[in-house]
Amino acid sequence: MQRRMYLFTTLILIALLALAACAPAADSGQQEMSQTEESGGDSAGSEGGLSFIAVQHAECAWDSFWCTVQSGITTAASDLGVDVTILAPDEFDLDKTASLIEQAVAANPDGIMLTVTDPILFREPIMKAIDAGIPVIAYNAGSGPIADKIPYYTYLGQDEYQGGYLGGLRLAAGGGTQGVCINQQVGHTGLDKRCAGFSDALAESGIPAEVLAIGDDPAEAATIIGDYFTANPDTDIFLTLGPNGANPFYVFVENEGLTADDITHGTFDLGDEINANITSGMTMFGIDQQPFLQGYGGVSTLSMIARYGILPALPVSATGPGFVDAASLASEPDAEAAVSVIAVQHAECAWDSFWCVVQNGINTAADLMGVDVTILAPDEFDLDKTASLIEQAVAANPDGIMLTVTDPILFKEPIMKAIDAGIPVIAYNAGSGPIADNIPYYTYLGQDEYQGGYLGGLRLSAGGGTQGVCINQQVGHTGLDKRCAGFSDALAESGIPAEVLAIGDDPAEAATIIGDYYTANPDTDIFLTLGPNGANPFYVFVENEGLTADDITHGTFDLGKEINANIESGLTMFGIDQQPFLQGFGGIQALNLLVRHGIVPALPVTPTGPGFVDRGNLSVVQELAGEYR
Amino acid sequence: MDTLVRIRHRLADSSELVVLISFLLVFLFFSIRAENFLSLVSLTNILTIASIKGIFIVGVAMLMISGEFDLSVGSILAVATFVFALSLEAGMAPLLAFVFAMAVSAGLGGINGLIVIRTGIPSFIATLGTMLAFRGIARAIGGADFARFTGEMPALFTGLNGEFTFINRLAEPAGSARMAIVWFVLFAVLAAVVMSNTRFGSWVYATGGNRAAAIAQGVKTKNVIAVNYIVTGVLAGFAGIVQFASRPAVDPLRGEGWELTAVAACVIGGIWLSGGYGTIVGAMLGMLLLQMVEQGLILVGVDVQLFQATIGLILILAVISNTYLSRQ
Repeated sequence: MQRRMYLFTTLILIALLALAACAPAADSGQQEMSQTEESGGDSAGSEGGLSFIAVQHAECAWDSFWCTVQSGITTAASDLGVDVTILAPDEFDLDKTASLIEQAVAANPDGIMLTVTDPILFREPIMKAIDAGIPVIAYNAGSGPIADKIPYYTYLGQDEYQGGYLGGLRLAAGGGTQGVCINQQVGHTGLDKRCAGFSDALAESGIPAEVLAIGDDPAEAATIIGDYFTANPDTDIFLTLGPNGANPFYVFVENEGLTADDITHGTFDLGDEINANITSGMTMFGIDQQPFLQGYGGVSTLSMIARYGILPALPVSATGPGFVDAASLASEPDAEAAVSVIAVQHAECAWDSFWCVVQNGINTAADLMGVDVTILAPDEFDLDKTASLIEQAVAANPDGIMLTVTDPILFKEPIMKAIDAGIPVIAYNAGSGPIADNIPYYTYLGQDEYQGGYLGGLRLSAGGGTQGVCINQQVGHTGLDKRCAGFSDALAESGIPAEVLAIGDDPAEAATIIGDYYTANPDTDIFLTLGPNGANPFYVFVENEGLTADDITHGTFDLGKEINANIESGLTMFGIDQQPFLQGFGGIQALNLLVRHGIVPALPVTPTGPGFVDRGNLSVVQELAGEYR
Repeated sequence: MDTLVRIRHRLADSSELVVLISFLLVFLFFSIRAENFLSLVSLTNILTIASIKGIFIVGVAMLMISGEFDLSVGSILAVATFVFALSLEAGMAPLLAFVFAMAVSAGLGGINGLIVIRTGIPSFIATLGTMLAFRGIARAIGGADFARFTGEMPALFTGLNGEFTFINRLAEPAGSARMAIVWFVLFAVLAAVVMSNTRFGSWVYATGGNRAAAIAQGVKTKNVIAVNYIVTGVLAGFAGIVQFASRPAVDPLRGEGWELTAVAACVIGGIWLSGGYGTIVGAMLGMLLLQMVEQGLILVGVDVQLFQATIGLILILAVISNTYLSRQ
């Protein structure tokens, strides 16, 4: 009798466990199916899916560089299920390219991506597209909407300063005495920025750095480098800005009989000689602008705009620097590889509705790109449990882990375990980037707080103003302080002074503080609040004083019932959204690109916000709230 | 034939039987079903993660055998960790901070004991109250914020929860074996010996089994209960500090909900809710089983939501089986 009972018990246990292990698989399969229908339904909104046009000044047929860009475009089109037509002149012909843009506008696509090869020449056709209400973004050639003075959404290309800066950090990581940036074209803005970033990075380690001007003549350049080294024999960190600097540098190294033990070297760009030296260990890295990502990212960005109402966060979306080292040169990405990702987050949709949007982003991307994803989260807020979930995810040996770095000190140990196991790790929603968090994961997808304040400040001060104030409910909070700093910098560019006003989290008191401040500073006409805790008391103050949108301009971070109503009424110019959908979607996309195409995220922080919500797109955002926004 | 019968009787006598069978079956199941389950990292994960809770489950098990509950373990753990972290932050020597935190844990455990033995309030209610109260203390002394240790790791941290590098490096990806396992095993073995081979152990069983009879036989049941509360408090505090030694940050919600995991592990391990029956080894296996299920389900690629459901089923099955056995 007893034995029968044991048998019975154990059998039931096995059956239940088997059930437990199988049931969710079927469950998630259903979820995936319904999502496919959903996204299919979305794209079907424009009858047969989205169609985009890419207009570029060159093409694969006669310039092999563009084959990589176009491969990015077609891969993204197939990953995301959109239609893309590539238009380019048969030979280098900017005028023809400009007219191709005009013809693209006539086709009335759901979005246009183009190279802003010459902002003056292309201004008129691009404006035609923008005026027709077609979303426009730039890739490969351009400087961003602000510098190009054309209000397209964003430019996808290399961030030159960050290339120099992040390269400098790597070169100086092992210490050094003296650095030099070898510049073949001093005066060229892009190259100068690279050297500036390099110098700044070395300065952080207390290493002095100089710029050495060489010409484009290789033999002469090698001599100039040799002479410099004779005069400055302590120099042990070298950055070259492309093959025209690297190749003479290699001649110099051979002449002097130097080895990787004596000096460290990094360079921009790749090439036969550079690659050989990366493999041999002489050169630490080559910096790639990642043309594949320029094409892929362009299509992805347009899809985000057209499908989910999600706007690119910054005027410049960095596709590079992409660091290529000996390990990445040796690895062969496999575009067809099966990719399994585990997402570990400190909260989840079941008990925090904010996360439904993030998880929708994760599942939508995984579904589109054919990535297998498991989301792990504690059943209630439990950071230690979250940390153990990361450890347990490592044991599953997935192709990538995306996680929230809710507390960098608490999570460092489990994250390092993943990184040491060779699993690519990226962070989303919570974190500060690998440098600030002091954990070498790839990138953090979240809001760029400084840029939020800065770009918000530019908008608020565009119509002029006398005096600005940043209303901060928590002075000392790094993120909030950065927002105010960006705001002040933007206003300073228009010569408008700005101050920070500290209020508490008590709404009634905050309204009084704002009122008192206004009485003392009646010239104040530009207001930035940093969330509902600032905006709501601000609205009380506005009502008390009887102010209107004619008297002041106001922008705020975050959205909410009251904020949305005031955007609608015109009192508030915009609310800034961190775009949680993009945090989930972008995380999967970044790991997919990394594993299948060897594309590394360019920057330590990949901004998903600021996403500006104003009167123009409020209704779209409200419609998508809870699902995509 | 005679020996067979004897074996069967002995099996019926051992309260760990159900959990042992379940443990082996689950182990077998995941070994077959889950890729990477038998890897170093997966197995050491299970041991190390289970060990932190395991340390205080030893105390909770002793308490439950003596017929009492302690729902405040998670809160004591949080207070002790905050005391330790903030003392270090204030510049106190690590060893001194450790002793201080241990003293505070013992004090909080003592408060639980006092309330239970002096007022006669059921321990479930009494410690539900202290759970809330101690949590409030943790939040208050932490200023509702994290406490972190960012300096050079003192040697004490390595002693408390250092990595066993020589084991962890045996395979790729590296394992995660830590000192926590040693502490868990040490306390469990110590407690198991005390419970089965000492007079105090018999008193604990007697206190939980039939208190009136125990008192009649001269067992100072109140002292037994008080000692068990203090031991549980100290172990909870110790577990928190061991954990802090590998991940040096603590948040105000640390340990919330862990008291129920502890009770579940004990019940699955064959300890009766009414007390008087069960073993430390059973509770130990119960905790390992719970952690094994979590790691296994993650390896199978199941959303963790199902973890709770599975644990619930195992718990109910364990109680049914144990109840059945107890009728023999």
